[in-house]
Amino acid sequence: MRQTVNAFAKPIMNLMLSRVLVVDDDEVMRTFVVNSLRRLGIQAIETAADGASALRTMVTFKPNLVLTDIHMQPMNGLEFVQHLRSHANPLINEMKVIFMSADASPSTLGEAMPLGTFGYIVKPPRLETLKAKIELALR
Amino acid sequence: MASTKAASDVDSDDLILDIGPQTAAALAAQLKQAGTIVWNGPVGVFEFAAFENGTRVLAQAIAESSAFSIAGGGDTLAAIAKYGIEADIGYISTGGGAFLEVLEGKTLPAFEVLERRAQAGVAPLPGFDPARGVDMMGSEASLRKILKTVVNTMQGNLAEIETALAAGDVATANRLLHAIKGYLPIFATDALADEVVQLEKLSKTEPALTVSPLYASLSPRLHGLLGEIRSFLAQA
Repeated sequence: MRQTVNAFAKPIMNLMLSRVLVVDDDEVMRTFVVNSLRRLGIQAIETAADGASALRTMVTFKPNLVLTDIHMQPMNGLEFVQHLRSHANPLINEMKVIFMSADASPSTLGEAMPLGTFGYIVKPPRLETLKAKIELALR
Repeated sequence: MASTKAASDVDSDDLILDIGPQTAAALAAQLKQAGTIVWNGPVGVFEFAAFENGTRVLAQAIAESSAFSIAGGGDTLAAIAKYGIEADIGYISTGGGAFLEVLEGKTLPAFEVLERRAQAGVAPLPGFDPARGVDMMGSEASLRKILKTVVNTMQGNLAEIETALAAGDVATANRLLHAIKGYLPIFATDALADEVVQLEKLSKTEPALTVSPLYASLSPRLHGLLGEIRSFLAQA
């Protein structure tokens, strides 16, 4: 059998139409990720500095993708996504989530993966990595 | 609609998102007979249940093999975590491309710089890499914008680390080193970023008594980086 994996050949959603919520407690990283998203043509971007404020922004901003850090205070990224998954609104509990972390340890990945993530990005992501993960999530 | 078909039946507009069951079984049989296994990536889009079979079969074969196994790369680690086989892998590296280069016998830039530095005595190393910064941010204007945030944030981070370590609070120092580790590769040299990675890792398990002297030797370089960034920002 031919063995090729080409997950990115046919993006079905224009990135420019995406609405992305970036959750990270570090201002430098938020600035970096927002800059990267704008380079990809995404204009509708909101940011939050922790899980609790991200939950509030979810309701008003209505994103179709969330990029979230893991190690944050007072509510970390794993707790934030657990809250999303248990939300009554299907638009929120089925939200597409990509984790971003400087921590690629198997134990952290082991906690993140069962939460229904569409990807895991080691920070800081290169532009092409970010684009590939977003296109895959929005497919 | 996902379907399984032979390579000869694949249409020109089909997306191939996983290896087929026959290929997976053939590879699994080879893995079980191997003496050494190097695993550098999943074979399909395993994040989706419909396309995880190949990666799952290979992961299980690697776990069950008596071979010495080495795995590396972020996506590989995610697969290892998903299938719960950490304990069955001989060595897990968080590096991806870098880990393959070491296996090829190449010298990584950070090691090379540190080696040269050791041979030449303790010469100060530059910490700021503006070319990398422009590449990561897309333009010099964007780099300058983020560096203004860096100056304020990092200055605060370094002061907090010093205060925390003086109080024996290594958990706070680890949290702040973790933040610095995340953003340093945007604009700093590999050598400096790697030193922060090493200290952040140590600070997860070691007490303040161990971490403090190591941070004291790294701190001048981090402050030096801030100085280099300020000089860069002062240029017209």
